[in-house]
Amino acid sequence: MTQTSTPDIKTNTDSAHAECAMEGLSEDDEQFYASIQNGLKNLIKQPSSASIEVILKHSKSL
Amino acid sequence: MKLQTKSDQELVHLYISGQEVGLEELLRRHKSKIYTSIYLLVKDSYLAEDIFQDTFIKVIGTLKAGKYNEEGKFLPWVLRIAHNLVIDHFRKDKRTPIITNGDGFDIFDVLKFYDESIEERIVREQTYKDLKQMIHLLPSEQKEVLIMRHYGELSFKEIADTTNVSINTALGRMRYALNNLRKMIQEKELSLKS
Repeated sequence: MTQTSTPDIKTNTDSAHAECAMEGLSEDDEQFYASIQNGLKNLIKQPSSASIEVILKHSKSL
Repeated sequence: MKLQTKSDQELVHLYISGQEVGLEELLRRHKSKIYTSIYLLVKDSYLAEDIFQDTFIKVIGTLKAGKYNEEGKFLPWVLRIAHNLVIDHFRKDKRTPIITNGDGFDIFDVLKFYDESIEERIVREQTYKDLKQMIHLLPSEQKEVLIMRHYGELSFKEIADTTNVSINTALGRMRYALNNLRKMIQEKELSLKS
């Protein structure tokens, strides 16, 4: 079986651990989760400004 | 006191007392997390926009009716409403969600990384695209826990309450989600270094 590469782990494990605060998960799981934090953060999307306007208009109309 | 320094609870009170700025700040503070959580579940930016709007219409209705439970935190509560609306949608519309190219704002479209080469940018964008696809490939209950934990910053207790399962089940789903992602990342030999 071929050896596959593992994802790079964030160097700042302290902050990653604090961020995770995932009691109940193994250290391996926590480390892996920390390593994908950046990728997950970069998937953040924004709703359109039109949606925000609809919501605020609705609120003001009540 | 600046709005940015106020707690969610204080903003809710401001809004209930008639000051719209309370809602505006709550939206500004949480819109990305809520929208991303919905989007990653439904995989359709138009549908995500609709559910996002419906979520806040419910939020506004509850707040204005004075029915908001002060004991809970604002973001988990809103995510619970969004989660129920997503479930309602798929119940009504018994179909497999499809990926469409909506015109929703994508952070990658506007962020400029001046200090990286074209090759590096392509690799980075492809990596995030791969990760997004991998998340979409997770079974829905695993994807849900991962999204709520990461974007909603919900505790496992809150996730368990929101999805009507025990804490152990929520934790187990997170473990499975991480294991599945790890396997997929290893198979693709993907590096998630920033």
